Amino acid sequence: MSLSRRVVAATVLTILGALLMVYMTSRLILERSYVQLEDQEAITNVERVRNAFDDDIQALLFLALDWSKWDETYHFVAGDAPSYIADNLLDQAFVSLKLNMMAFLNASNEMVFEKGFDLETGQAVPVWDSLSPYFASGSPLLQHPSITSEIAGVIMLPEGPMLIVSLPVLHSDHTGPIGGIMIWGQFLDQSAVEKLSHITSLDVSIRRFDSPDLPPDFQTAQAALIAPDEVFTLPLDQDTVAGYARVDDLQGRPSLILKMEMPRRIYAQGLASLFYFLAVQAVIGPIFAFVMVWLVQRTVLSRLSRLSARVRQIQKTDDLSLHVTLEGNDELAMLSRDIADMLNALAHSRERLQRAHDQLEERVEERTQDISKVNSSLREQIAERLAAEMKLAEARDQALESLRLKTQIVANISHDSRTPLTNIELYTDLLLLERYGGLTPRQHEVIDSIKLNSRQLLALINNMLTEAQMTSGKLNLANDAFDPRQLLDQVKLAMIPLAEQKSLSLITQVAPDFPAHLRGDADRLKQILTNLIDNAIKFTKQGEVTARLYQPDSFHWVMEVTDTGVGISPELHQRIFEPFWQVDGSPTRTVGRGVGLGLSIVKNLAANMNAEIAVKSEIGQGSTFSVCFRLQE
Amino acid sequence: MSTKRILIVEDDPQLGILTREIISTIGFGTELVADGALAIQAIAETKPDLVILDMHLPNISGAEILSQMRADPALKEIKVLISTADIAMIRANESLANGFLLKPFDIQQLIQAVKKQIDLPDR
Repeated sequence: MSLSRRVVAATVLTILGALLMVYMTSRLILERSYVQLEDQEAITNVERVRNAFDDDIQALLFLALDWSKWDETYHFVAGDAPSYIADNLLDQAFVSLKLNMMAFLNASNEMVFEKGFDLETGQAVPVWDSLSPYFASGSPLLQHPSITSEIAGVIMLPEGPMLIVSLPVLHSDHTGPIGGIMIWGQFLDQSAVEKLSHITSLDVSIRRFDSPDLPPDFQTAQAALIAPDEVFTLPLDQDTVAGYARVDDLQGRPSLILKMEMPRRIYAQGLASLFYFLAVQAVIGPIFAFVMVWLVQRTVLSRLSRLSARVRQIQKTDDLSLHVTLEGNDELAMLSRDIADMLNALAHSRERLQRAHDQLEERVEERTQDISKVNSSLREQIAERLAAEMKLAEARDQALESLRLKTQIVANISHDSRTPLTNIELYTDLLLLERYGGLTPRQHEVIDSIKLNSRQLLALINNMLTEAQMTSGKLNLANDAFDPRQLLDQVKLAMIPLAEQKSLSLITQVAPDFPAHLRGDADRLKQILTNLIDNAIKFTKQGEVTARLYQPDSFHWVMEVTDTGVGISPELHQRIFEPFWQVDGSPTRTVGRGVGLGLSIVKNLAANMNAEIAVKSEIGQGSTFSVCFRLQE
Repeated sequence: MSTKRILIVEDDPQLGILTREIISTIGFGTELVADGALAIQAIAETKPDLVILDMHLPNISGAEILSQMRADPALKEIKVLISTADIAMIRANESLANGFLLKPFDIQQLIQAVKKQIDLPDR
């Protein structure tokens, strides 16, 4: 639903609601007060009727008083004035006094005179039998305790209600004693009712209280009039309202219902004014609604829809520069200006966003170029690396191949030289055994030297082979049981000639509880020991070389060679194990022989056997080389 | 004189002659072959008490001769001393041979090794 429709609907509903409210309020409050007003008026009028009715009785009473306080009457009831009847109680008197009955009793309550009269016919009639109980002894009409006593009221007779007055008969000067009782009666007939209507200007009617055929409204009143003085009102129809009052008889019994009818003027006027008021409202309401809607339409809705159309247009065209401002200085104009401001801000931020986006794209482009540059350079580098790696691999393969060849060559030389060396050995042995003739001591000496040199040569070849095997990773170590003492003896036997040449003592020592058998590569162990002893002999000018076997603890055993030679300064302790290096700092041979492979081979073999090598030495103090092996089970 | 006969298989003529010369001094009958094929033939024909077998031979290698001998029921009881410069070769044939001579060896080693085989009862 559009806003304008909603406004119209809301306005119409509001107006209708207001009308309804006014109507309801009027009905509830005004009408009720009209009814109350009407009710009060009705009550007042009923009271007037009752008063008028009472006035009738009072009027009868005043007339009667004039008669009862009269010496003639006094004398009449005493039986002393027989002319009284002819003078005063003729039919004429009944007509003028409008009486239906007169009765005079003497002081002993004995009837002196009684007469009935029909006012319609103007004829005297016998006193109605129904009255006789009222004249009998004990009747309320006969109770006059004092001279001022007055009894006036209504009694109900089968013939109709009767106004009745009973007064004591006194002297004209109002003195007693009470001469007798005078009782007058007057039927309450239609003329009396008309008189009441005339006096009160109201429509009055009277009904017997105990009448069996009362109209419905009288029946309602009969039920409502419980107390003697009560008054009851009842709207009969749209135009008439009635009021009812109860009249009791002398004995205090409810005897009559007085009814008064009057037009509902106040109520009708109230209703009319209410109607005019509502009519005016009904006319003004729509006008007011129309004006309101028109105003809202003009000042708000049309402008709002203009604003909304603009905004929708902007949304559709996406053109933020379109004009949305409404003229005026009110909230809507402010809203439109706010929207315009917002659109401006939006346009700015969109511009900024676009700029940032463009910059970002530029940067991304730059970065992409950078990355592709880096990528291509990386690719080049990778290609270079790969080429270099291939070259390296080639070089490595070549190096490995040449190493393999070298090892092969050394192995071949080693093997091939052994047969000639065997021949030299055997020949020198046979010579020394003088198998080929006797020898001079000098010849013997020379042949010994030949034998020693051939053994040196063999040791050299062995070292070269071992070195080549270790370099190419082809060293295979045996793990057999061997007798360490035998090993030591064999090496000693081989090395003694070398020691003797330099006049050195070669001493071997085995710890007393050293194991009888060990496991390992006996030939390589021999090689280690041989090299250590050879090295010791090489660098010792005089003294001795001692080879020792012992156990530092129950898990290791040590092969140790001590000499009394030149010694090694501590800073050189590591360098002496480098290949082709000797103590004097150069590969020259100023002290001993050999190519400098000995200690290097000892170190490498020891490393291959997981053995620790240690050197203890000082310049001029000799050296101790020890190799510590793990004991194998 | 002893009836023990020793076959020397050695391709180096000098070493062959030297070996034969030294062994004959201790009183064994010797025969020398320098070729693998000839060696097999000689072993099969003469059934020597001991063969000193060089591992490095022309035509048929010492290792091949040894394994053939051990596979032949007629020859497998014949004792063999392998003679080589190669420790690896000794290790490879240790279980098949009765003993070995590592080149270079001297007179004492040669005589001891031979005597150890001949003087011992059959293995």
